[in-house]
Amino acid sequence: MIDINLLPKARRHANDRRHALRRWIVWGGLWCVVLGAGQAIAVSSGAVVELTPVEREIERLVEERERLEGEIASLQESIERGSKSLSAARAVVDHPDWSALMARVVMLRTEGLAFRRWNLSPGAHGSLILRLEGKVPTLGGLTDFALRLEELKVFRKVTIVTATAATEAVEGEAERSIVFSIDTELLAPVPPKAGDAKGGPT
Amino acid sequence: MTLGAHARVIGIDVGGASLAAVQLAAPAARTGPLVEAAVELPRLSHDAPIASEIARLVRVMARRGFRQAPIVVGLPDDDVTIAELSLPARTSGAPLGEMVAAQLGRICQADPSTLECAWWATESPGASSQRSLAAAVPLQVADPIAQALEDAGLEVAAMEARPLALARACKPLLTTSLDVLIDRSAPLPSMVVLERGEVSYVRPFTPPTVRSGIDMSVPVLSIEAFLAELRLTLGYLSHRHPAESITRILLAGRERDLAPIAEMLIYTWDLPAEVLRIESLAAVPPRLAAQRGTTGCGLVVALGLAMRGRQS
Repeated sequence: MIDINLLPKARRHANDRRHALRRWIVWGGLWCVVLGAGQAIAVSSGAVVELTPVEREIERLVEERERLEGEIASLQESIERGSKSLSAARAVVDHPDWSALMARVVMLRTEGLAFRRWNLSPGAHGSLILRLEGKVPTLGGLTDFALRLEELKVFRKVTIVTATAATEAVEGEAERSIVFSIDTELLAPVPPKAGDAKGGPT
Repeated sequence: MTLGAHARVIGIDVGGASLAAVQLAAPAARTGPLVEAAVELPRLSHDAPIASEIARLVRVMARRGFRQAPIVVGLPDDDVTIAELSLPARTSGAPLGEMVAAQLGRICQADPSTLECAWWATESPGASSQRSLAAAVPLQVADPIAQALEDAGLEVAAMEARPLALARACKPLLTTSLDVLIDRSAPLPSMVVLERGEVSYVRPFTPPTVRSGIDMSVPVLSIEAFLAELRLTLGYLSHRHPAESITRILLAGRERDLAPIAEMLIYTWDLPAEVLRIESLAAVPPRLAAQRGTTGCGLVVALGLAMRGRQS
């Protein structure tokens, strides 16, 4: 059969809203009753929640895992700290002490000789090449300095690489000098000096 | 609000010559409708305010054993416009609701927004267009009735045109082809045609030509004028359904109005007429039948309203 509804739409919608609200109230009330009944039953029966052995074991394992994770974290921090100090110490230990050599070479200078640059670089077969650059007033002073180096018996070979005459203005007067560079090959690496981070030619 | 198959709604007919209310018992398996409570009250006067009439009815209902339930109201026939429309098929995607409202607004000469409209197809869908019936009621009529019922503490679930309720109540008596139902329970009679049990045509008879000598405010159609209208309608039906014949006419209304019509139908067209009574359509318990105003012809529309939502 045909069912039409000529009730004004506004009233129909009001009815729908009223019914929806009523349904919500009824279901909400029922839910509260169920919750209340459940709680009342639990309270009246005096039930205490008891953990089974497996649950207790799980709780213990979880606590143990947390403790171990904390320890691992602190251990990692110590390892990082130790690693840093070790690398610093290794850097100190591997660094040779050049101060003694430098002092000996400086003592061999001839009159008026001045160093401009020292450079240490690796040579063939693990040897070290020390390059000395500077200026000297006369060419004789340069050769004399080279001979003194050879006599030091520390270098396997001493070579004057360049010796060029140059004129510089010093206090308004022209001054002639010889600009040189000498390569020296060390016989053996200088023994390291533990605990001393200083030294080393540049 | 959707009424379920087990809803125990109260049908209230405020559109008839009297006020009537019916409530059915909960449907049981393999049984027809069983009346649980019923009441019919004569109206104080044709012009009495509907609110006061409803308040009086609700007071009586409380004493007659009605239970709290949603209300289905049958609207007065002269306030409901039922028109035949030709609409595009549902599958066309056309805004049928707006089209129906616009056409009914034009027919009623009213702003469509001031009308509450509903429509139903009277032919099976599938064609490019479908023949439909549409009903409209002005909000200024429906609202005061609903308000009066709500003020009396009732919840209005639906409002319906009386011909649909009448057809629902008569369903046990309907044939599988064409049925004609004349409703004289309202101040103005109308004819309802049902095809295979569904309302397919509603014709209100023309305005009254004679007035009652007792109450001049109540329009009354003379028997002769009524039969002339009926002849026109039956001629139209035989033209529209040439293959089907009408073998019987169902009459609803007050018995004293229906008796002369039934005689004239037999005399003029040799057409048997059956007067509808609530007792022939539903089971009425003896305790109810003993009470005044709980049986008879004036309750048929209210019975159909109370059957709304029930599966036949």
